[in-house]
Amino acid sequence: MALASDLTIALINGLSWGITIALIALGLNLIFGLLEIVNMAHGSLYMLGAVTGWFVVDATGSFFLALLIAPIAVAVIGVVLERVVLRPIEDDISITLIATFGFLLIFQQLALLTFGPGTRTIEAPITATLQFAGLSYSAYRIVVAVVSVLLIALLYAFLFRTRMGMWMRGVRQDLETASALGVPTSQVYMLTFGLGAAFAALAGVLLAPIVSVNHLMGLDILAVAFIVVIVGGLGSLQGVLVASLLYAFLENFGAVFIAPVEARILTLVIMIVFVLLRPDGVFEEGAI
Amino acid sequence: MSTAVSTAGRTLKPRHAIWVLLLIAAAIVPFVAGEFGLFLGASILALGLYGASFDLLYGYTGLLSFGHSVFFGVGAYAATFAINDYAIGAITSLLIAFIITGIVAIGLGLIAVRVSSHGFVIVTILLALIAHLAASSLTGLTGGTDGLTVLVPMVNLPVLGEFTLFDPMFRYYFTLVVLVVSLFLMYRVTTSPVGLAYRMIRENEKRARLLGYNVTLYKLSAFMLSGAFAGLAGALSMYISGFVSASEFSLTVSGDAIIFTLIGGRGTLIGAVVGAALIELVANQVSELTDAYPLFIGVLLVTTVILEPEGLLGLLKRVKERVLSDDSAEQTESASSREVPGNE
Repeated sequence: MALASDLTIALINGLSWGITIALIALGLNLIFGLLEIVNMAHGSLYMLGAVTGWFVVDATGSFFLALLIAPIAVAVIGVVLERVVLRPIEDDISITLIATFGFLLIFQQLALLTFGPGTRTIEAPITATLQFAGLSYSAYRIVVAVVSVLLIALLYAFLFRTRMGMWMRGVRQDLETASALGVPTSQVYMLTFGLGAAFAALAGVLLAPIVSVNHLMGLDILAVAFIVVIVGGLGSLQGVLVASLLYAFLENFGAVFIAPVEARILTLVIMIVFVLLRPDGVFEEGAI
Repeated sequence: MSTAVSTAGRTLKPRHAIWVLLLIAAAIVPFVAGEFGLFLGASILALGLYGASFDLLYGYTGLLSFGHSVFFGVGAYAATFAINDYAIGAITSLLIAFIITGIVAIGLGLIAVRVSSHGFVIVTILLALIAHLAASSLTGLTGGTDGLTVLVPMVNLPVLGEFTLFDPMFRYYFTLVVLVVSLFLMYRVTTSPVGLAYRMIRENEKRARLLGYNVTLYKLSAFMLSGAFAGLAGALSMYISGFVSASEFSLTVSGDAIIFTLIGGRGTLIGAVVGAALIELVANQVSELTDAYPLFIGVLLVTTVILEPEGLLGLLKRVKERVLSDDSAEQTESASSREVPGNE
């Protein structure tokens, strides 16, 4: 009986955690798919979102204002980063990667200087718990999962239903033809980076009440985002969704039977084996 | 200064002179530095070897690994176990660390090299992450984040007798000798036909494949050699600090290798040693003033990457070429045969 309820909780946790991971990893993969930049600072953008959110909540007391301001602020940082730093060196993948690693150090240190070394929490705007089948579950987590699903659906609608989205996919498929046909590639790049950064920051604010905020929180999530991106397939958005859920389920169900850290190691090992078997990911590379 | 000195039919080029000058400088350090200077100096030498081993992989073969800390950690632990549990001497322990790390590198290389070039980076990050998590949780074996203290090994040298690594002066020279021997071996690899194949893979992998080179095998061999030397560096660092912990596996340690190589100059081996010295000395100075020295290093890394991707040595080379523009034609020719600047 206890096992059954543990497994149910693992299922719900897996679903909600998986969809939130996807929210972060989609931005990472969008940036990779379009700009071919492996953004080591992506986790830091998530962290900056949470930290900015904390400052906004601290100053205004409004969680919703934080949800609005943090993504915009971080998107601006992302756009500036892309334009000023990455644009001139974007031809060399390894050099852009090292530059974003430099920014990982810089952002982490700036957060440490302004926010301090401690861990803080944003109070969840919803404190109710849901009761069903003898189990209680935080309503806020469910809300986060639902909001994540909505945001991902919005991203898809944007990519497949709007002109800008079509341009983004066009640039991804064939940069030269797209720019010859008059697609403003420079703006497309900027928007992509801004969008990816905004998604990471949104996730940061949304998750802040659950995972608690500190200047190192970006590192863990970066690793998770990387693994789902590589298992899902570099540049593939559907793949990221599948891999995120797979990762979250493995980790949560594993934790029912063995210690959480061991479950995490096992999950990573399984994912690595997966990469060995399918080096190009769940779907083939580049299926935006 | 600028004219090549001829010795027994071989020419001693200005580039060699830099190596010799650096070696003399390194050999003199103990006479001017205090106890802490000796400690810092030895650490720099060990980290320089770590950086150079990374340069063999990235600077020469073009494989950007973010999992280099795995080898550093494996080497440190392999030597620790050899010393603590089997009472093996320092030099033999180093060889054990070298071989075991090389074997581990083959195993991990078989995973990493298979994936496409961007995937390679990410897979190596994941390998470092798994190693870090595993080492942190296997506290019984590794001591976790609290780490293990290493019993100081004795060094038996023929003729000279027995020494202890407790002695800071001996420890410094021991590290220097291992570094010089390792650099020489790596230098021989990079100037051999194998080294040329590495550089060809870096410049144009597709062409190398079309010419019939077994690219995967070459990449794997670079991964193995680079890993083995990084393991050696890990063991040396452990001798210097007398301590080893799970944090040797962390991504920060991987990042250090990248920083040393990029700041000093990629594709030059010695650049990584210079980079390690610069960063460690600066970090040591800045950290006395402020806790924010990682910020400083981050800014330094980003500026270097944007303004001078070839690092300090690249900058020096450009300056030198401008100053000696007369015989620059002959110099660039001779330099390009060993040190290939730039990327495609």
